[in-house]
Amino acid sequence: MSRKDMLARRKEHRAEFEREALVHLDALYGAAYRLARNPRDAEDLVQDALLRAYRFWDTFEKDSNCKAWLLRILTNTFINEYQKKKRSREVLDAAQAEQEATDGVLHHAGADTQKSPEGLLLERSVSDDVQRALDQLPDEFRTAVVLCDIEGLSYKEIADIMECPVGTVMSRLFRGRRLLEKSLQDFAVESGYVKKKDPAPEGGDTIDLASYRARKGS
Amino acid sequence: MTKLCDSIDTLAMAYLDDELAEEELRDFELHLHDCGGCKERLDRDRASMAELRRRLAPPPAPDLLRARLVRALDTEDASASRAMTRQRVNRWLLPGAASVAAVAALAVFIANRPGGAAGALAQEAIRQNTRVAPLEVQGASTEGWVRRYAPEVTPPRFDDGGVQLAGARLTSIDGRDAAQLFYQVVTPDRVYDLRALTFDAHGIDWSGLQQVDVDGTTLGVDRRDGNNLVIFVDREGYAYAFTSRDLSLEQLAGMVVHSDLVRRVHDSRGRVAQ
Repeated sequence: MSRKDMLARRKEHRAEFEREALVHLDALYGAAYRLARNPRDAEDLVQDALLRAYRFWDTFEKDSNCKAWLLRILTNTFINEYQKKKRSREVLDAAQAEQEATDGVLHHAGADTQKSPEGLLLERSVSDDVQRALDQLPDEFRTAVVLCDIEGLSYKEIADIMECPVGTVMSRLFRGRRLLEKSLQDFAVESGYVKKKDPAPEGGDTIDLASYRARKGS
Repeated sequence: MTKLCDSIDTLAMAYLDDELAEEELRDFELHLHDCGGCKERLDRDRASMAELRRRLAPPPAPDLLRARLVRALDTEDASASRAMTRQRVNRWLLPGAASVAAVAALAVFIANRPGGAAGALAQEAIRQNTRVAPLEVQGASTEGWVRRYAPEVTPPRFDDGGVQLAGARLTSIDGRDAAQLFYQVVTPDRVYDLRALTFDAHGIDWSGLQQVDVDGTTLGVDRRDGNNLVIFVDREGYAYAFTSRDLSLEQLAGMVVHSDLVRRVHDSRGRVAQ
C-alpha cells in the first residue's frame, strides 16, 4: 500500500472514530465524573479510555452498541489502572504534604490557602452531597449505579461490562441505591435540612429475578 | 400475601428499570390493581429513584476536555504514522520533548535571589499569582470583560492553540492597578495552569532581576517556592508577569517569545526596561 493510501486510511479511521465514538463524550465524562473523585481525574480517565478505544477501534463490532463498548473500556480502565495509579498518587501527595509542612515557615502567611492554584477553576463544590455519598460506596456498587442510573444501560449490558451474573448486578444496584439514599438522608439530617425519619421497611427476599422466575415456575 | 408480595423488592426494582418480561409485566400490573400495599411500595420506590437519578445527573463534558482529546488523538495519529508524517504538536510545550532550538539553548539558572525593588516585586507577583481568590469572569466572555474593565490591557495570544484564556480578575501590585489573567495550557497529557499579572511598570527599577535573552527578546526570570516567573515588559512600559508551578522557566520563556506580545514589540524594537 502506498504512503498516500495509508494516510487516507488513517484519516478515514479518525473521522469514523470521531463520528461514532466521540459523540458519546458527555456520557463518558458523566460516568467518569461520578466514578473518579475529582473532575481532573475524571478528565484523565476519559482521555485514557478514549485513547485506548481509538487504538482498538478496529476490534469494535460496528453493529453493536458503541456507548456500552466505550463504557466497558472506561470502567475497566477505572478499575484496573486508575485505582492503582490513585494509590501511588496518594503516597506522593502525602510526601508532598509533608514536604510543604516542613517548608511552611518559609511561606507567606497566606500559604495555607494556596495549595493548588490550578484547582481553583476545576474544584468540585464541597457541598456536593451526592458525590460524597458515592465516594463512600464500594467500587462495584458505585459502578453498577453509575451504569444504570446515569447511563441507562440494561442489567444484561452491565453484567457484560462487570463480568458477573445479572443477579449480582441486581443486588449491587439494590444495595448501592439503598446505601446512597441512606447517606443522602444522613447528610441532610447532619446539616439540619430535615429531621431523621424511620428507615423504609425492607422486604425479606433476595434481589434476583432469576430466583423469582424459578420459584414462580415451580 | 401472595407470591408476588413476597418478591416486591425484586419486582418493583425490575419494573422501574424496565426489565420485566412481557408476561411478568402483565402479572405484576394486575397484582398492583388488587394490592394496595405493593402499589404504595412501588410509588414510593418510583419517587425515590427519580430523586436519586435527578441528583446523580452529572455535568456535560467541559469544552477544554474536547480540545484536549482532539490533541491527544492528533498525537496518537502522529506517532502511529511518525515515519510518514510530520508531527503537528508544538513540541516545545511538551515536557521532556525536544524543545525549540532557541529555547533549548537557554539554560536558566537563578544565581542569586534578586534584592531591592525588583526582588520584592517578583515575590509579590508570585504571591498574587498563587493566591486562591475568586475570579471575576470565566470562560468565553473573559476577553470582552477585560476590554471593558481593564482597557489598557490586551491579553496576550499564544501561537499554540492549546493555550486558552480562561478567566480574569482585577487586583493590585505595589500600589498599582493590575489585571490578573488565567490561562489553561492544554497538552495531550493534561491541562496546566498559567497566570499572568499585568500592570503599568513605569518607574520600576528592574536591575535586581535576572535577565535572559531569548530570540532577541529580553525577559526577567525568577523562581521561588516552586513557582517559576517570567516577566516581559512591552515598549509602552506594561509588565506581564507569568507564573506557573507546572511549566518550567524554559517552557514559560518559550511561550512568551511565541506570543503576539513579542510581535507587538518587535515592530518597534522594545526591550525590558533597565
